[in-house]
Amino acid sequence: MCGILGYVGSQSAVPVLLNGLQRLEGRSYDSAGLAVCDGSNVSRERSVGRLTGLCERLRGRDFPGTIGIAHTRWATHGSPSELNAHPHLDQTGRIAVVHNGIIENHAMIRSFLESQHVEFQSETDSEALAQLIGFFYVQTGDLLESVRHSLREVQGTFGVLVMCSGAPQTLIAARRGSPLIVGLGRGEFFVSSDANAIVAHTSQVVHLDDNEVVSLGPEDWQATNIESAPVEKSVDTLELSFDNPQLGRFEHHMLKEIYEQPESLRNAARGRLRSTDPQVRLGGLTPCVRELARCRRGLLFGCGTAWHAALVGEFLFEELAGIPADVEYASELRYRNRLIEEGTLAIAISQSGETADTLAALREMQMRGATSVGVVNTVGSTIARETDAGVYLHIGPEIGVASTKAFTAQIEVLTLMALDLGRRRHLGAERLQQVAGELAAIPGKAQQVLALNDQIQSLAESLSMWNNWLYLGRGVNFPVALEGALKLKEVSYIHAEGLPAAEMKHGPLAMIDPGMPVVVIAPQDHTYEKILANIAEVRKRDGCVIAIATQGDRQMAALADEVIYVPPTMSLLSPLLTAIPLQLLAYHAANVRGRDVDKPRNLIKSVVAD
Amino acid sequence: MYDSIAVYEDSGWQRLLPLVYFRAVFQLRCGMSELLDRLLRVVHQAQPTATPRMQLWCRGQLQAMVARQTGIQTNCGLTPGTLLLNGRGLWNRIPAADPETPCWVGTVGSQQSIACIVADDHLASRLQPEVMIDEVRLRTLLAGLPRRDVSADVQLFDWPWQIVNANETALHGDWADYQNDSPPPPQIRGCHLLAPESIRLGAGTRIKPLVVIDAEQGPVWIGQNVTIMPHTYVQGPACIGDGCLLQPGAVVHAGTTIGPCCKVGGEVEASIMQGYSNKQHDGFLGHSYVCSWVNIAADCINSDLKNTYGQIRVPINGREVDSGEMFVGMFVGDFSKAGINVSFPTGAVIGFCSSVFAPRSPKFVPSFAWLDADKTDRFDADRGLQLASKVMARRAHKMTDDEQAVFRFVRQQAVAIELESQLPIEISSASVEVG
Repeated sequence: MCGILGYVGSQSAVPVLLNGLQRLEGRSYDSAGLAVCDGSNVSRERSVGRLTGLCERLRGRDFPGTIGIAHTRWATHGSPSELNAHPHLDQTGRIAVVHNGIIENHAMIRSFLESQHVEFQSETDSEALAQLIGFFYVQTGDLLESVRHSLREVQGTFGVLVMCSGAPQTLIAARRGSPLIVGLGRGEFFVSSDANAIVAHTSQVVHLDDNEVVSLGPEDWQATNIESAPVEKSVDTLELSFDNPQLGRFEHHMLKEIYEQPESLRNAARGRLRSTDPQVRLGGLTPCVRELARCRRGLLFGCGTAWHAALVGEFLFEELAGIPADVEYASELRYRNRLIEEGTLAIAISQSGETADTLAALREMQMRGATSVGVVNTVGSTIARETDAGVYLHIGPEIGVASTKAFTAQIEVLTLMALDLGRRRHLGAERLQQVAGELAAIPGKAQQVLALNDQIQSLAESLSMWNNWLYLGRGVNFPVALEGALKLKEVSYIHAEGLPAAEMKHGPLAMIDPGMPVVVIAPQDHTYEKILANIAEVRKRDGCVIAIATQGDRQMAALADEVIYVPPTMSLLSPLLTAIPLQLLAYHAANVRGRDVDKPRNLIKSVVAD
Repeated sequence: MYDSIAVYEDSGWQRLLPLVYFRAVFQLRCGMSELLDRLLRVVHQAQPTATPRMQLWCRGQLQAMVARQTGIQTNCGLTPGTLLLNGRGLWNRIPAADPETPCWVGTVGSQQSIACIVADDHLASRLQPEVMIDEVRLRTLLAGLPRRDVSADVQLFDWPWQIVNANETALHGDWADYQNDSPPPPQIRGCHLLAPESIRLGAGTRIKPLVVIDAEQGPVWIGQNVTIMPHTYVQGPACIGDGCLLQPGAVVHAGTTIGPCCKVGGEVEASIMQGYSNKQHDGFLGHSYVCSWVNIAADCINSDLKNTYGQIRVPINGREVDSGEMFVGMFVGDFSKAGINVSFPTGAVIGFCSSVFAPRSPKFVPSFAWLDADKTDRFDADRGLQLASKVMARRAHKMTDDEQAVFRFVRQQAVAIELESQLPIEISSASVEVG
């Protein structure tokens, strides 16, 4: 996801912007750039590749100015190149623009502007917006109205920052479908697509909503909608700490975040569940307490890893809450004529809270009358704000593109929600306390799984030459198989498939070559006997079986080529432990293959485009 | 007491389109005169002996035309202590000077819209006409200056319908300035002048028999050389400008201002005609503003009230703005024409130099559009100018060079400002230009 950042105040803009860009660095990007205004001219520098390249170009050069905008770009229209990197300028060079999102009618705007003798410098949709603003500015002489006018013409999504050499103390920001948050400092303003980039400066923020335009500086700020009507905005206090996202002893964010799971699992449950307390305390669900009691069906949806967490959630809802649950891909759900029954609880799952498909599906479900609940990590994100109620993961920023700690935290939060719903129906206090007690033990057990890192690393080294892997699981561990395969694909680019173990005999068994890695999640639960039979079938075809098994399972040692033992736990909670070795396996396989683990090719952290 | 006063345009001019494509905002008509004339009167009343030096600040493209039309210096530099007055205001009073505060800003309303500025040496050197029309730049320059509420002195017009709605009150207010120009008329044989003390007729004006002029509810001011044909009814408050012709059977309801040299027939209610426009035949014009050199053909009617009695939305610059009003008619840009029998929907906006044919006009007609029943094309600037020159020639007017320059500029500007609405026309007429 592209990151945007703006500053206007009394400090020198370049250091503020570079610092902020570093905070955004966890996002995938292919180029970066910034522009500052010294009171009369706009200066711009852009660079392809990592942020260090941009810093290198700026070194030793004088870029004065106390207003500036910056951007990290992930190419959508036009190849990754310096010419296509942001900020973009209008034809006169007076107006600089950074933009997140997609301008769907950019071709029409471009062709119109070209007919009006406007010359374009890049292939991007964003330049069309910059040039359109510049074109209106020439015609009207009014910058703010030119921005609003342009945004009214634009179809698509935008988080956009605009500055102009003619108004060197004012920054204009606007959004539609792309997150944007304004930080209010003392005599200075910060704007970013991500609160992490501004939390170091201020905790007082204003969340922009769709089709709102805010003009910042020099002494005040004003919000209107794109129709020019004034908008009342409230100032919120960020509940985000200024965590240092640096890697510490870890080589990659992904590994760091895998290792953070004992702590993130503790944080996600902190204050919400006590083994001595007969109820779950999810304050974020308070706004819809009445609907929770009347809920008849759960509809969980998300994309990628969040969808896998939803699949686990389906088991949890049916087992613990005792209500039927369905799981949908958000990207499919939004276009389906999904019939929503009365009492449907629509649960949107998204780490970033900005996933475009999940957001669109959420809005569709809301329109159809469902009560909506969000399970998100990013505080103040769009999904968090648009749902009727929600539960935050509280696990801190997840920087690695391949989601790890968010997956397990999502499962944990869904467990808590299922327990809460169950308690409002049939679930006895004793059963709740039993699950709560086991949940409380999970972080410690996760720590034990992490101790297997060396074993898993060796395993990855020995198997990483294989280009096709299978992941098998049954019951609640089938989604874990899917997630394990997805992790491997994401970071190592090895083809992998996740399957329900019993489905092997309906086709995929034919794929087994001698030595082919087949990862089987086989904890000792009610599916154990069946999965032993599945393992035997793979072994018979000389597949190489790597089993994720329960500690003390001697039978598995005899059957599988390699066994990774995880501590015993309740079957329903086992994904919280079985997922971790699969994350490590993917990480090490990618490392062995020399992949950029934190920024895998073709992928972005938060998919805010359709 | 001010030595120097400048009347300026701000960024609000864009919200008054299409009325101000071909004039500065202070040349709009409301009450018995243009806003600028009213302002000059107010200045004179405030400082009858110490006449301040006046100047105008407007968009660059209008500078030459406005200077020639008004005879006032336009877009020149400021001197310290100048009072700058927002030209889109209906001024009742000049804000009092404050010797203690050499530099301050007068605002109106909860949004604190800027109505006037008193500039000290430093500010005067930084303010320029192009800064005034850029909201962001102006706000930057005025940051930190003391504010004063001047809501009692002026009503700022943000949208076209506000001018129309203010007209009746403005007509009443202007009467005090106009009634002393001449004595009340004597009764005219065959006519009925009701409340003649509130009626004034200019020199050379002819009132034919069977005319009723009814000033019982408000004054009626009729300019010089006006001809009012038989069976006409004029209800005050109303103002009929110099050289107008009211056709037989015309009905002019209260709250109407007809600018100079218009020909009016049919029914007109609570509307403003800028001047030099025709609406000669039967039909209805209500709660509308018609700019100059417009021709509205026979049996054209406009709606000014929805069947739902709901609030009317008006398309301004490609977006629909909720007027918050129950009565809003249409707004017609200069040089536009309506063919016979056209029905205009409530809150319609007809751009600059457009032509609309029957049976029904869309709610928004882009500038330079040629809207036939089944196709839309557009005038190019040359063809538009040819036609405009013909129209003006019929009133013995020749389009001046500065007017031609503005006309051409509007052609380019309207395409930009009305982008969304004009794009289909731009694309469809890329190969065929029709006049």
